[in-house]
Formats: sequence, C-alpha cells, structure tokens
Amino acid sequence: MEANRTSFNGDINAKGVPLSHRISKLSGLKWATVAIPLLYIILTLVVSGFGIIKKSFTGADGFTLDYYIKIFTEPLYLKVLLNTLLTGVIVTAACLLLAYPAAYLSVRAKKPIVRRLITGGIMIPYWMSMLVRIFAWQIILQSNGVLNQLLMFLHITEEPIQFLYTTGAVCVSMTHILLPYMFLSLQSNMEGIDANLSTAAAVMGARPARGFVDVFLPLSVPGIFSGSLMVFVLSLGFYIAPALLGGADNMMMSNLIEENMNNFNSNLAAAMSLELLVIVFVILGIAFKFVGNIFVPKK
Amino acid sequence: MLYVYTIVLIIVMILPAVVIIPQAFTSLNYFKFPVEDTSFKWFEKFFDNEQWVVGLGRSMMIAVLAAVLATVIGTMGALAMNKINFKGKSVFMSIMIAPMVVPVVVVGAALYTTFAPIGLTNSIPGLVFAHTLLGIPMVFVTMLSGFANVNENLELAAMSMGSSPVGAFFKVTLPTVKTSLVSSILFAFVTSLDEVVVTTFVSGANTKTLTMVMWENMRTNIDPTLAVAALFMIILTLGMYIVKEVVEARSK
Amino acid sequence: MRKYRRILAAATAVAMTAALAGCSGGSGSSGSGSGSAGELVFVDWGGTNTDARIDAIVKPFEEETGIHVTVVTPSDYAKLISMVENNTTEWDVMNCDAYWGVYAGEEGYLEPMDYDVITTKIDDAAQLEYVMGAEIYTSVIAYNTDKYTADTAPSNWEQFFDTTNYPGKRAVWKYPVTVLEAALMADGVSKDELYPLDLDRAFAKLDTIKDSIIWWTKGAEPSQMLSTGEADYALAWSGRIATAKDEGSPVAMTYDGGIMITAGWVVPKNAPNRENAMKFIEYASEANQQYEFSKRIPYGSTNPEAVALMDDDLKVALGQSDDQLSTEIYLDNTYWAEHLSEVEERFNAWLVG
Repeated sequence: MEANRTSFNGDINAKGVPLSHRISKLSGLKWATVAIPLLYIILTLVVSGFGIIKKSFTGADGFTLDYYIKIFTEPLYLKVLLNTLLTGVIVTAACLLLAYPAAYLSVRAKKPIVRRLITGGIMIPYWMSMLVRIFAWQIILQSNGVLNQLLMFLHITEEPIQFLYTTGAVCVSMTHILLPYMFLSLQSNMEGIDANLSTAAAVMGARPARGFVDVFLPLSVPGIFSGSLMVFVLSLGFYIAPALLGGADNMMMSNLIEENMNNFNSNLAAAMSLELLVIVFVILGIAFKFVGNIFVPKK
Repeated sequence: MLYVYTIVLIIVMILPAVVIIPQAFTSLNYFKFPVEDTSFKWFEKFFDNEQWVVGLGRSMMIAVLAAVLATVIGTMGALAMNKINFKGKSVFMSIMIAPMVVPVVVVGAALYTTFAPIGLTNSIPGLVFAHTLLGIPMVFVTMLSGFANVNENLELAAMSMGSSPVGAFFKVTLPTVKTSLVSSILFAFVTSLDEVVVTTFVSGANTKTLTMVMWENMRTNIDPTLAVAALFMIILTLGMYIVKEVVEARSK
Repeated sequence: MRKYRRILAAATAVAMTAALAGCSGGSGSSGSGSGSAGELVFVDWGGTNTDARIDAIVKPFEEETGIHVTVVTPSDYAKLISMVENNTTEWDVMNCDAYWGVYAGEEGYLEPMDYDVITTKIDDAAQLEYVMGAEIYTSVIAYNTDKYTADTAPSNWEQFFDTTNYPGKRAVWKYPVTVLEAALMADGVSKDELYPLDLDRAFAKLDTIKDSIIWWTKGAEPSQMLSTGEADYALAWSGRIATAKDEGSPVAMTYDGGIMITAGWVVPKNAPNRENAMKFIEYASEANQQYEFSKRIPYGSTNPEAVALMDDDLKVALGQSDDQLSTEIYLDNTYWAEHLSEVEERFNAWLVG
C-alpha cells in the first residue's frame, strides 16, 4: 500500500491518480469540505450556543456554579440523568441486536426482491409520523389492546397485563422508532463488505461461524458505530415517548429541560443541556479512540 | 432460521401501522382496536380544516428541501473526515453531531435567537435552515460509515482497466455509498417531517407544519384525525419512495 | 449514477435560490403591520378552543373595530420568553394560565394590564396586574360510564383517594397544580385553609395511591384513557371531558370539589400593537362575548355578568351554578406564581423518587 503513495509524490495531477486521492490533496476543495459544514453549524447553533453556555454559569449575582452543583448533587437530576442514559443504552443494544441479523440477511440474500421486501418492511413504520407511532403503541399495549387480546386469546394469560405506562412500554416504543436508523446504518455499511472476502475465508478452510466473526463482523464495525451513535444520541433527546407512554419514574432529561424553559429557569436548563452535551462528547471521544481508525482513508 | 426471525421482526415493525391506519376510518372519537363501525367523518374533518391540508403540503416541501441540503452538507463533512488528514477530528465530529445532541428545546431557543434579528422566523427558508441543521448529524454519521468501506484501490483497479479517474469515482466509489446516500436523505427527510419543538420556535403564523398541528391538537382533542393525517403522510412518502425505486430500476 | 449527482446539485441550487429569494423578500410577520394601527397578533392554544374563540370573539372584534387579527397557535411559554429576551416580540396578546401570567409578570416579561381601557369588571381574583382573566377550566373527577355510574364512582376527593372502597386505576395530571389541592382536600383540609399548601401532607396523601395512578400530560388524554378502560377514574379538565362526552365517549364527571383554574390574557413586553391588545382584551372580557364563547365550548367564565346570561342547564354543565360553586375552589394564582418552580421540582422528585 505504501508503495503506491510514494509513487505519486511528484505530480498530483499525473494520469492514473484516483479522483478520491486527488480530492484529498487539493487545497481549495479540501478546505471547503471541512469549512462549509463547520461554518453552517457554527453560525446557526454554536454562536447562540455560547449564550447558552454563559447562561449556565450566570446567576442573579453573576458567575456561579450553583446550577451545576444542583444537577450533580440533587437526587432528582441524578436519577433522571441515569434513567436517560440507561434507557439510551438499553434501546441502543436492543436496536443493534434486533437489526443486525435482518440487515445481514438483506445484503446476503440471493434475490434482490428479498432485499427490497426486508428493507421495505422495516422502513414502512418510519414513514408514519412519530406521534402517530406512539399512539399506535398505546393501542397495542393497552389493557384491552392488541397484545393483551392476543395473549388472552392464546390462553397464555387470563387477566390483562399492565404494559402501558411502564419502562417497558417506553423502551419498546423507542426501539421501534429507532430501529430503522440502526438497520439502515448497518445495511449501508454491510453492502460495501465484499462478499468475496467471506468466500475467500471459506476457501481457506474457515468454518462459516469463524468466517463471520473474523471477517464480516470487524468490517461491519463502522456501521455498528454510526448506527449506535445515532440511536443512542437520538434516544437521549426523546421526550414524547416517555411523556405519553411512561410512568412516574420514566422522566427523561428532555422533559425536565423543557419544563424549566417554560418556568424562567433557562439557566438550569442550560446547565442540563451542557451536561448532556459533555457526556456525549466524552463517550464519543472514548469510542473514537477504539474505532477511530476506521475513519482514516484506506490505502 | 434467519428468515424466520426476520419475518417475525418485520411483522412487529409493521404492527403499529396496521393498527393505526384503520383508525382513520373509525366512527368513534377515540382509538380502539379492532375498529367496529366505520365512517369517513375524520376525513371530512381533515379536509375541512385547512390547517391540516396546507400543513401537510408545507411539511412535505420543507422536508424535501431540508433533506437535500442536509445531505449535501453532511456528505461534505463525511468526505472531509474520511479523505483529509487534519488535527482535531474528534472535535470536528463533535461539532457535526452537536445539533442532534443538544436538547431540541434548547436548539429551538438558540435558533430563535439567531434567526429573529435577521427576519428568518415565520419563513419557509428559516424552517428549511433549521431542519437542515437537525438533519446534518444523521447524514454525517451515515455517510461516514458508508465511506469507511470505500477502498481507493478499487478505483485504481478500475483505472488500470482503462477508466478515467472521474469515471472511476462515479462507477466504483459512488455506487458503494449509494445506499448510505439514500439512507441519509431518508433520515433527514423524516427528521424534518417529525420535528415539532424547534419548528414551534422558528415558525410563525403563516408557516405551520403538519406535525405542529398534530401536536397542538393533542392538548384539546386527540381524535382519529391524527390517523388520517398519518395515512396521507405514509401514502405521500411511500409514493416518493416507490417512484425512486422505479426510476432506479429503469435506469439499470 | 451521474444522474444522482446532477439532480442533487440542481436541487441544492434550487434550495439556495429559494432561500435567498425568501430572505430578501422579507419574512412576513414582523414586516408589515408592526406598530400600525390596524393589526393584532393573537395567540391561543389551538384546536377547538381557538375555533370557538375565533367564532365568538375574534371575528366580531374584527368587524366592530376594523383591526385585522392574525391568529397564531399554540400558546408557547418558552417562545414568549425567548421573544422578550431577544427584544423581538411578535405577539400582542396571548392566552395563558393565570398563575403563569402572574409569575411572568413578576419576572418582568409582560406589559401591565391597562385598566383605563379594560373597564369590564370580572371576578376580583381574576383581575390582576398583569393578567386579565378569561375562561375557567376545572380539575374534576371523571369516570368511565361503561363501568360506573354517578353512584358507584367516587364523588369527592376523599373517595377518589380511597383505593379500598374505590379500587381501580386513576388517571392523574402529571403536574402539581390542582393535584396537590385535591390531595389536601381528600385528607380533610377545608377550602379556606388550603393555602399556603402543606406540601408534606399533600405528598404523603398522594403516596397512598401512587401505585394506582397512571399519569397524563396532555389535556385530551384522560378521556381516551377512560374510554378504553385503561383508567377507571381520572382527575381531568372539565372542558375536555364535557366535549368528549358530547361526542359520544363513555365518560362523565362531577364538579364536586372541583378546582377551578383561570386562564387569561397577557400582553408580552414590547408587544408591537399594545394598544390594540388592550382593546381586544376589553372586548373579549365583556359579558356577551364571554357568554358566546362558553356557549360554544364548555369553559366557565370569569365574568359574573356572563354567567348571569346563561340558562340553568349551561351553568350546571360548566360547574358555575351556585350549588356547585359552594363545593368548588379557585386555584390561588398568587401562591402558584410564587412557588411554581420549587413545587414543580419537588413534585418531579416525588415522581421519580
């Protein structure tokens, strides 16, 4: 691999240099791809974001750490934070475990129609408004809802079980809503995994399971990473599902933050938002250390 | 075995749609399954109230524009991460996904602060910019994983077979990320459609989206008009998806 | 594949052009009309509330004064706060909960009511420095009529909190306002001694039924919960239950011990059409308009003259007959304005606790 690099050291525009490679060397274009997205986000969000950061450190008498002390010591805020993070982890894990096999099947199936059907099936609920999906889960999980009706019909239970307004209801609905994100992330990544590699492994004598673990799985890591990141981060921001389907102990950060924004406590809300942001960045930083090398161009 | 599992999963995924669509036709004013008596009154109610209908059209238009813009910008960011060597990639990535991490109500307030002085509130472009912002992180993350499997050597191989560099890029690299591209557009599109909190801040009297109408109606009346709106949303988006598939199939 | 890139590029170009065109063309609301004599931006909760309001008040107001009213929904507290903080107030008058209005006024986010223009007299408790009371909605006991009748369902708060004689699930508002009052009344506190609220006692009482409670956050949820049987009884808003009942849902309610919440008008600080806003509030508060509004949607009125216009059936339906009023209480806006933040926090802590 390295040999290829050095032979282009001289003339970047030499014939035979791949376009991708050229893009990464062109000075003008290169900085545009970095600058434009950065600028867009910075201008729209970060600039006013500084105001928010400042707010979180400003009290009635100027600079204060009171808000941060509050959210890190009072049980309410710690419990809600823990609940939010825990729900995020559960939902992300569930999405990953559920979506992975289906994504694998959809890219390895022999007939393209199978792939279309699987993808379509998983994606159809995605087209529905999220609000409506949550109502649908209400109808399914109600005491006289679809699930209870089914269980009693099959004589698995005699009495309706209280599914609604529990942590289970929140997790199930969130998993359902977020699964398409995981599925598509995994699928888009898996598509690029050359099927020949698995064949090569088999030819070399590896049993299918071994071939999967040693060859396919590692190559699907970028998809796992981006899918998990998306699902986890999205789940942190959920407020509708816990509000409509959850019980008393399913309060999430977003619910708290919104309440405080309505009650002239935007400083506290700012502190909580920053807390969330920092936590995610820390997690991202750690994850990046482990899998960051997948984002360096392959040579 | 894998097939059985996948089929069961798909059934569970579709279940909510199966459950809620019939509700658009119920004669009751609350949600009950199965639907016993049918009626079209909720359709009447939907069309009667121009807020629903206009909101639907507006939502769709904003979603399309935001999806395209977010995909372009997000892809740029992913390209940068993947192709260019620069310091502080971790920070770059953090900023790119920040709009998704910051709680929506805070994003809403922040955007309002930025947009109001320059008159971007209560305007379609303002909403498009706001939704684009929210869509960028998802596009970024998705395209990133798509590019991760692109092997430059494949392009080299193509060129050694006689293809031009640009041709190799389009024929080899782009198809590999095609699925990621489509996924990105989808994510950004639906994110825009579903978005309600930031929209509340940035929109105004003349720029209500359908989801806003749905959300505010929930304070006063939860009734099957919601299901009617959902039905139309599904039909429209599914329609676009099918058109895309057909166009693609033809061009092969 | 080339097609993709081209389409993408074209679409981006279109989007950018549209954006630029939009930007330069002006954005509408704050452009025309701010400050000119004939405009008003009126903010309400939306849905059937606003439909009734437009019919009974907004349209006649437009006809009578010639002022053009733009209706914006929904009322949004966080957005009003943002507007005032950024000095970009676009709203002239908004309907909100009176206790929040008092709070907002004390925090400096509102214009004081101009009682030179607003001459209509309404209930003393509803005529405040920063808020002019408008309608009343009441937290009441509601129940599922498929399973219960007026005799078998709880008919006062003591019974509502009695899970032994009245077993079953209760749907309760996930908010301390009126819920704490109900708990205290159930524990035997008399109407006059309710405020300031004895929080410890209220939460202790709530603890006794916590396991039987399912929580609702949106006003229209309880009637849904009752109709499907998910909940047997509910602490719900009278207006919502009445409407659901009219539309055929199997629900009913009693006003006994009802806690009346006043909603009212506020004018955000630096509203562009402040004077028109005051005129509107005066018009909306007049007995006739209030009566017309209450006729269309089951909310009570803060204007005693409007109540006098109602026939007995309507009064009973709204919980404003003398008999009913003797058991009901008004929510204390001053108490809640002062303590909303801390009580809300304590309530949340209790919820997750």
